[in-house]
Amino acid sequence: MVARTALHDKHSAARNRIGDVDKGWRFAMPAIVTLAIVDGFPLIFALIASFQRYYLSGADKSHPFVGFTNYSSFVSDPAFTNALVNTIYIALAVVGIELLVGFLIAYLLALPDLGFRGLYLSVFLIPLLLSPVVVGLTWRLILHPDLGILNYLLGLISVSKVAWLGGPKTALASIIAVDVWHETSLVVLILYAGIRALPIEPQEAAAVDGAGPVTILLRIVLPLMRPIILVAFLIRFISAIKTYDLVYIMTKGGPGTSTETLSYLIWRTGLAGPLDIGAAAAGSILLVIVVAGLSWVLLKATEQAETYY
Amino acid sequence: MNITVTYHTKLLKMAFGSMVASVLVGCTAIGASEPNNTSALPASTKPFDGATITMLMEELSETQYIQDLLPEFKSATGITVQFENVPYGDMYTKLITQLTSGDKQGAYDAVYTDFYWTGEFARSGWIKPLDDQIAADKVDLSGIIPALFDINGKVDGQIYYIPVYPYPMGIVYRTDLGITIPKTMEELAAYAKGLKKSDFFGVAMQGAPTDPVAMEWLNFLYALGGDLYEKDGKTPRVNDAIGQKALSLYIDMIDNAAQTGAAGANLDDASAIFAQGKSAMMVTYITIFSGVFQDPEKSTVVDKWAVAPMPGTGVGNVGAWSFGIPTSSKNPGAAWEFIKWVTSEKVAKARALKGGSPAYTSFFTAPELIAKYPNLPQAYAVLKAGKGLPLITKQQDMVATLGRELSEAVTKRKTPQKALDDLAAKLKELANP
Repeated sequence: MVARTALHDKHSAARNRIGDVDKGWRFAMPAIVTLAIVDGFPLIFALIASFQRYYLSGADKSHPFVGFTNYSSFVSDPAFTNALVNTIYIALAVVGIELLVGFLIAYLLALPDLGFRGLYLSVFLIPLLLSPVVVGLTWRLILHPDLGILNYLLGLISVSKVAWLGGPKTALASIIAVDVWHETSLVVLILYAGIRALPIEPQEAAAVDGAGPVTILLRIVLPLMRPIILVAFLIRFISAIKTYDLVYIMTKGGPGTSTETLSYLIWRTGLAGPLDIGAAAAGSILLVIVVAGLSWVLLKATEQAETYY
Repeated sequence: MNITVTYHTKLLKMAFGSMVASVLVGCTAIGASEPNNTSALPASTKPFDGATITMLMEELSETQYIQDLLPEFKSATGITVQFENVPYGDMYTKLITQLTSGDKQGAYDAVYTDFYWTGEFARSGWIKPLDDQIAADKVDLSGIIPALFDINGKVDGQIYYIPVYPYPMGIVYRTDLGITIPKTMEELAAYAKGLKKSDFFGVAMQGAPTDPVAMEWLNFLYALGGDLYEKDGKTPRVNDAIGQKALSLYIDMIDNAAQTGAAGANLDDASAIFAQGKSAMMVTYITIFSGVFQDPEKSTVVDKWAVAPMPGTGVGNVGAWSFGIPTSSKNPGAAWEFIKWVTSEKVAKARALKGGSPAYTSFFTAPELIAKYPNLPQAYAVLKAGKGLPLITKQQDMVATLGRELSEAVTKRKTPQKALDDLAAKLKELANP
């Protein structure tokens, strides 16, 4: 609802209120219609398909209703458990590392007597401007066992070649590392803005009382930053749960299925072999529910952060 | 209120009117672009002059050979051919989304089909049968190796695709290092391990999921006398004693005879290793690298390599690429002209002279080809002994699952026995829907 100011209420409240709401809907109509078509149609299609036997290929083109069969078969597949574990592991690892590294960088950037701050900020923001596909392709070249520059540099200090994307543990670690390289910038941006917005008085008062920089950081800055850190965490976590492009570009879920995430499994089920749109739709709906739940939590956390300042 | 009602009515009328108009325009446009693909002789010699057709192609030397010859096609027919070249792993998904678009709605006018998409595409009603057009245009297909039509041409008795080139698999090995290929697979594994030194590998392998490892391993399985299914084509036998031996030999070679990172290497990685002279052997496609290995700019092993069949039974994996016309093609007539041209004997020979894999039986004994590529007669023997894949409808799923389970075993995430058992369970499902 649009906030009503005192001025509005003065001038014929009843007539203007109906007019404003009506005008508001009309202006918003194009956006609402576009969203309904672009977002709503696939969502409804997926919802319906998730309850149907729906295969893309094959002579039988019927889509009979099969109840919750797709959901139960998707969830009971061992590949699902594997993908779920991988997804949660990746999400927690990348977000944890990004928050730590991001906060450190943001705190250092916010130091009062730092020179070249503009230059540092520009450099740190560059990864964020790159599309995940570009990031994935470039890092896949860098990590190539024979042609990649990383193994070359390691060779200069007598470390033998590692097949980064070829071994199960190193592949997962590589995906996490590349995601951290790409997305820490976003966390830096959010946290830097938050640190800059902090009131300076509590920190000055503590310094006057004899507190050292570490104490100020741990006892004053961090607690004040909690809502912002929570927002950064949720934004990144929701995004990390949906990790797909890095996996597709760098490892295709391999070796074996060691880097398969939920999104990748859904794609693979629907478009890369089984062509089982029903099961893929069921998986997608489950993912939507999880992400929607997390987004609702994010919304609440953002409101809390806003009222804080 | 009256003003609002009139405004809304006007808006509705305008919207409805423009909808009707656009539908009418759309229908006329579709009607106008209906190509002339009847079997009657065309009135002019260039009935499709000015047309442009698009197709998805594999990023590989073979595609380049065709691309080099396209200007000739354009001057003969006036048709512009556009290739969209992508790595192999990206092709299937891109094709599926276009093939399912519905009549004349797809982006691709001809479909370049690999041999384990054959049954699925045809049986899903996505490909036009070609028998009538072949008869009407009196196309002579007798020169093409007949076995290729069983691998990637005919489905359920009808011809859906015309073969473009076969890719038999066997061993490529160095002739300048005194290498002899052993008689059995066990001996091959031991021999390859013995050849490995610090910067030189016994064998260049491609263990990456899903197509590379699946194609490479099938040779190991067939060479030991094994198979995916029993003769009935419905009961899996991939997890029997032979399958297990094939897998353990394969893992042994990946770990102890192959290049670093072989478990994640694809065809480009492995062939680059051989072309740079860093490996003694390679289990690979023996006819498609003629152009690459004989090109001084790309290879250090020019005239230093030969081909041999797999040890043991000598049976290797044989695949083929073919062209078909999808029902979603916007210009099937022009597409058919292209397919006839690219698979014709004249054009096929031009491609083979550039280093392409020959599809015509006569090419393997043609003097001008043997002069450039002396390995062709031996390659033909390997091709004749080779074996394709069962033509079940869900072939792609079968190969993808094979590749995934093999990769799980190669990277030690599953024991070989478990990987093969899980694979067998899935193979059973796929052959008995």
